[in-house]
Amino acid sequence: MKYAKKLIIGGMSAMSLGATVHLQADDTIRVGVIGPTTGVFSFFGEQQRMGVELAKEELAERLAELNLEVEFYDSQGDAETTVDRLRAMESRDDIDLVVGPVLGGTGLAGLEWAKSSGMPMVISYSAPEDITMRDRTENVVRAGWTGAQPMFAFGEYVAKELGHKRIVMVGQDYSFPYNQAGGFMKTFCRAGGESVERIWHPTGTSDYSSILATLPDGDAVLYNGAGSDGLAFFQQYHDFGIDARMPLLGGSNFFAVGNLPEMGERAIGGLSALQYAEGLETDTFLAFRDAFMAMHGEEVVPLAPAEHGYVAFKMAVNAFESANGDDRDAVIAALRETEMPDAPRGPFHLDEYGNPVQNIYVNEVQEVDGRLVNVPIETYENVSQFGPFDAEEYLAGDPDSRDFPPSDCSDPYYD
Amino acid sequence: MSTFYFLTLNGLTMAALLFIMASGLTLAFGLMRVVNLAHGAFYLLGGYFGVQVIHGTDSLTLGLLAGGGIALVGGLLMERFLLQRVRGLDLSEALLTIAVGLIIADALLVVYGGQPVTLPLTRQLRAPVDLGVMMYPFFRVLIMVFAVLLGVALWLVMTYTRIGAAIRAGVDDRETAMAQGINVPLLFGGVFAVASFLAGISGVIGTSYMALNQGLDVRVLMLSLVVIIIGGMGSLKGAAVGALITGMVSSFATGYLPQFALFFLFLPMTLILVFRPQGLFGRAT
Repeated sequence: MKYAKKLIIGGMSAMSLGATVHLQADDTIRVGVIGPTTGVFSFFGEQQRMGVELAKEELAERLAELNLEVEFYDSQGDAETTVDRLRAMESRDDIDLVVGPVLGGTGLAGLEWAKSSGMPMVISYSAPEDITMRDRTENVVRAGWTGAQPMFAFGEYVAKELGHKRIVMVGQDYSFPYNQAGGFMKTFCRAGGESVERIWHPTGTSDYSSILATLPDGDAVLYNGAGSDGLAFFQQYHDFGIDARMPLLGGSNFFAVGNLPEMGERAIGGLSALQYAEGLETDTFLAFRDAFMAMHGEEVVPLAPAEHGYVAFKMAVNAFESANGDDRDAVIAALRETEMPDAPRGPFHLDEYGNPVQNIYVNEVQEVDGRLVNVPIETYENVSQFGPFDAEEYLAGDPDSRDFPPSDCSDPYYD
Repeated sequence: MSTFYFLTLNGLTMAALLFIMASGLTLAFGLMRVVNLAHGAFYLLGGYFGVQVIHGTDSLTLGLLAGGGIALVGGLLMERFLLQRVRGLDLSEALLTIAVGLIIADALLVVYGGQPVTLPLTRQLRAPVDLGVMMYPFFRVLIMVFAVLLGVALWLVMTYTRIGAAIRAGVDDRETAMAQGINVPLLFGGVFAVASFLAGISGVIGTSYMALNQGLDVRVLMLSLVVIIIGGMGSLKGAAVGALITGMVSSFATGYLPQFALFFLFLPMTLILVFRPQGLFGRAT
């Protein structure tokens, strides 16, 4: 009996030892892609997944050469689930690099995990600026953007090109819209704007009629939010005919991620800014769009989360190639050197903090071939996550909050 | 001054929608002592299905009936096959309705996805009409008219018909009512079905200006509960007054202090619970 027990224990430890040896001897490179592919935010995760699928197909030969495999994980849009999946990637599935997460909160959770794990990570659509600013870490880079980044360009555009002086901004009361507001105001005020009055409402508000009833006067209204809140605001704004009094501008996600079909033709002429536009006409973009729609169906337009997933995966593959394998430090070093001269959205490279320096497009909603599309009407080249500002000075300043920067453009802060 | 009218009309619109929601909830509670926590899910169910039907048929009426109809069927099935098995067990009943609500909401997520949905309304309905004090979108006026008609109809039925009398008898004393030959279980089923129908219909109506999305079920349920707690559970008059108070407070608070909108929304309920727990028109038990 004693002997049998020993035998079992011995056998089991031998087996587990064998398993470890097997893992270590394994020369397959594994990339884990994480995003919300089910749940309320599945739109974003699905877009990312489809972008990665396309990149996989296009790079098939190089992937075979590298012996690289891809696994998809579902974050359900939840920070805790994200961390669970990330842990499983590292300890169970022997993943060498993570693409994702996609959403703001899950991105921050992923960052915290990556700090302790050291796993190379290419964050795709997730936009909290501190991921590549105050909380940055060597092994995490980003293929996407920060909340303020496109708004630096938009603030300048609204003040200079549209000539608006006073903006009324209605927004969802949480950190991403604060960051968008911050980016907007910092350039708007310095480009000749007079004031930005902010009205914050709790996320999940569905009735905006009373906010609209007491809307202060201005040259334009900027809705700083998206999703169902944005859609409800858009609809009620037009129901009450306020569009006749003040034009409606959008935050970066307002017209950009999926609400256009529901908004309908009243959205035509709507302006917003992003590092992406599905109405781009460059050859690289058209090739990407056509291949994407050929793969996933004519009805599925690739939007920013899809392109960011596509690009993030390509960045990873490039890094493995120039590192000649999956040596962690070499991969991270290669990632941080990323240059993407032929990304669908336009050329970009990473700054020393790991965030793309890229084109920002001011987009106008137009009807093209019976479909509502964001068409770029102005391009700002080489915009970094610090906008026109010095990185060190920017980082020394306060992070954006619900009432920072100041509303009044004559405030000494803007001097 | 026009801001005042604007806010008042907004408050009335919201009160109208809340009343359509809460009247069903409060009736079902009054009769069956079941707080149907799946009421919000029926709102969602009716909304999604109704909008789909409107897209398919271009008929608003059909959409309203379809939205109400599918919620009615859902409510009837739930009452017949689930609630009847645990009748009288308060905790089981409440948990069961929560479970059904979660299942419906999750199933809707699978079927309709997570992207928000709006109701396609014709230009005529969206266009503003002159109310004397200000221009106001026509469909919002219709929502108010509908709520008033519904309130009058419910009141007439409850006060002047045999069914109404039977319901009131069932509310007051279930055993005695049964002894009088009133088929109380049948009545339960009927009232529950009507309540679900109203939830479904308000899903379609509400989508005319609030984008329909996952999570709205919980918010809508919460608002309905606020309304019937203020008005007194089981009282139709209470639901009307509760809806008015909630709608007005919410409208003016959102207008002047948007950051504190939720605080002011729940303030009246909190005060009522402290000073008059049975609600304005509820009976102390």
